[in-house]
Amino acid sequence: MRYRWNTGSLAWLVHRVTGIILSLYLIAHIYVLSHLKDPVAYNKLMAFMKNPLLKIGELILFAIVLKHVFAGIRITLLEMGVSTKYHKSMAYVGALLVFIVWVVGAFYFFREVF
Amino acid sequence: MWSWLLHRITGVILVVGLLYHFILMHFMGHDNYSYEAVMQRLSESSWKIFNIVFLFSALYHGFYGLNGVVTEYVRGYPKKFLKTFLVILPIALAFFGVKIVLF
Amino acid sequence: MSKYYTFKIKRYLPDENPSTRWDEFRVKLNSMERVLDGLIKIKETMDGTLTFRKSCAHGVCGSCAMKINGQNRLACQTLVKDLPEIIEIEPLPALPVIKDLVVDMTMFFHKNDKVLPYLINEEPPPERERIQSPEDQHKILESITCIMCGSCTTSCPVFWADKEYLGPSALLKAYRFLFDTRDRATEQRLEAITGEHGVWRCHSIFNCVEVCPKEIDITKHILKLKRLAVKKGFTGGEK
Repeated sequence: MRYRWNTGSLAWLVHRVTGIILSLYLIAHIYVLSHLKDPVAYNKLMAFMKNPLLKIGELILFAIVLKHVFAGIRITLLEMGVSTKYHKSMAYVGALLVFIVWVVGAFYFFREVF
Repeated sequence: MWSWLLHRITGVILVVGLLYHFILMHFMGHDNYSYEAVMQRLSESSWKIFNIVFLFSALYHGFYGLNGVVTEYVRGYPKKFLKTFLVILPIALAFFGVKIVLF
Repeated sequence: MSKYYTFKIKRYLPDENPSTRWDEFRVKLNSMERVLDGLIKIKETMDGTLTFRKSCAHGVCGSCAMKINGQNRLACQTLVKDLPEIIEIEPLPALPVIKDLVVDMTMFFHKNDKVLPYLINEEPPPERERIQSPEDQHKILESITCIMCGSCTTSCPVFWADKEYLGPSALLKAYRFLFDTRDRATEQRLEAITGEHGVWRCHSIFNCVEVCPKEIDITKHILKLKRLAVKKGFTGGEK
């Protein structure tokens, strides 16, 4: 069904999709980490994670986390009583902050690689 | 009501926890996530508490969200199955997580 | 300042054909006329089988809510001059269609019944009416203006997926009585809205606010309901 997208509905869709991705990642994350109690396996995984493709994957994941965090802050603020008339500007400011924090974060990410 | 409120509270905990988690594990350089450094931290009780709270918050928050998605999009028998699955899976994951943090 | 508009209307005539089709009509309308005027012209001069609901034609009865260019609106409140030359009209989303633009609103009104849409006060009535101060009335003034056209509930993505969700309209009605100082059934009302498909399913999407022809900030009211429910520490039927 086609229906016009609004700021609020787009924010909801992105929040929901990122939420599902993060939940699925959480399952894998906990499961994999729980099998790393010896240094050999741990260092093997760390060496594997040096792969540039996986670094890009980590950066995408970082962006998803940030987007979900800032969208979540917006929803929580609304629920705590911040006026709904700011809901659109909050969404835009949130998206901007996601971008800024992501760029800063990516800088540190790569500084660590080289 | 309480389940919903807890979802919001764990959300706030996760924001703080993730800040810590990301800075420590990704931005501060390799020394912070070498095997020795991680094991050193895991032996301290304050880190144990942080990790346990972080783990349970993440699991609750994530699976409450998935539960909501199932409530809205799935009907009938698959709904019952998935809802049960979404209770068992986080318990199993909590078991895995607690095992690595505490033992 | 008359201009030709193309009305693309989604037709469903179950007696003729079990599937839907799009019909196009060219209508000449002046800049002061509304989508409803176009529909009436089509019905009177081009195709008498075109079916839609209308009554007051002045944004009070809420009969002519429909999806116009991808968004729910009242046909009687939408001026054609504000729309592009091609106007796409469909029935309200997510409700069963009876014919053309007429949808079965039973499900919608049933939700309304679930929130007990009447004053509950067991105390013996005073000699005259139960007094409500202007300040007290102000608390529920915005929610009282609802005309129950169904635009909000059928614009809500949660309702599209979860037909059991109470929806913005019924929750607004719940607000109207929960915040009425003459009402006494707070616990009963909170119980009615805090179930699995109640107020917690609202994700502050604001689609309802975008479409409300009475410009009610419905999400604001639902957020207040959530805060009230938390304040009362009321346990719903949820996990």
